[in-house]
Amino acid sequence: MGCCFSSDEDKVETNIQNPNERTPLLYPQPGEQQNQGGRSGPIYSQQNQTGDEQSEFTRILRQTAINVIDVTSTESHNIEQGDMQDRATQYSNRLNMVLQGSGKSRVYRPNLPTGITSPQMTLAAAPISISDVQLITSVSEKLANAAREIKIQHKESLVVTFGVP
Amino acid sequence: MSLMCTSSGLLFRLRIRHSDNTKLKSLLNSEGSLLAFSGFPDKDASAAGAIASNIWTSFQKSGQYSLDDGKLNCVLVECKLGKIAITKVANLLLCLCAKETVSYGMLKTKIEAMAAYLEEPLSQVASS
Amino acid sequence: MERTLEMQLEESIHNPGITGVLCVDNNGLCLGAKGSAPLKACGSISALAGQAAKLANPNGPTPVICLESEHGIVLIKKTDKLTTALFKSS
Repeated sequence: MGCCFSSDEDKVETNIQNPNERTPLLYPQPGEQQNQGGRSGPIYSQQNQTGDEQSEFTRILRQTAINVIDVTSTESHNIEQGDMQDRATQYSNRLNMVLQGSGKSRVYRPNLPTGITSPQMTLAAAPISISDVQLITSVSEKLANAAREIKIQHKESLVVTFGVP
Repeated sequence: MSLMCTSSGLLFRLRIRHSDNTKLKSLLNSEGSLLAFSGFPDKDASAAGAIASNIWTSFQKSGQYSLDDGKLNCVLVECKLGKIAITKVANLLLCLCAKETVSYGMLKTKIEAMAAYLEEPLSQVASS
Repeated sequence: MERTLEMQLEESIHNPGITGVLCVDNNGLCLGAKGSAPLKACGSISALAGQAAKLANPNGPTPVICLESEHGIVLIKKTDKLTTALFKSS
């Protein structure tokens, strides 16, 4: 079969009928499902699991789902295409209304020195002096060293062992 | 043998003097419950923790969904009255709330420094 | 912690002619500023330094960028994790 799980014992234990390249080699234990935080993977139920356990599990899940207010799940990922366009138009209309009202221009201008009126003057001037180059080099070196010092000094151990026989 | 984090040591670490610009530092587990915090007692740390954890999870989900990348590194939030940085340390979240005068670069450098410091002891505790 | 950085910024602004110092990280986020440095220029400075570093020899020292205008110059230099800008009046 070309799969690590083709032995007979494994077939008995798991109910995976057709193992392929997407079949995980390690199955998450039921207890570990809780720890994954994100999306839960498919649950591979053991054959010896009774129906009672399953129904109890679904009951607990349903109860938890009722109790928990999950803000992150309120964002709907599957909006209809037309709905999406309607919303986009609505938002841009609102945005334009606010922008026109405030009189702010949305033209982006980096806050660097503005252009010069007489380029020939600046171009004819002496190039940047060697002292300026040395100044910026030394200042940047010093600042880089200072920035490297932003770390926490180790003073005492955070972790202690206990229960050592 | 078991390992535990000395709570006094952790609190002491969290209370490191950040020139008093950082208002609140907290350590949360992935469900948003507070494990440790340091800051002014009038701030509702557990609510802030839950919100921070929610923001983190929300961003991580979006990243996984739209960018196919669940490796969220750092979240910086600008609010009206301050700035917030959230990052992951071992299997926990570290949240830093700062005044609005603190620059983003400094906030990010600090939270990275704290995360790097706490990473090793916290992963020791997590794996034990 | 960041006291050293503050001190270095304070020290560098006392050089003759310097009106502002700006310290930016590799993401274009401001780490510290002193004097009349425009905080909005953080991103531009980091981006400029990054572009210039691509032109220079990768094994040599990082280039010094000088923006000249009628009122003064801006000197920019990038180190491995930090970009520094000095605003100098002429």
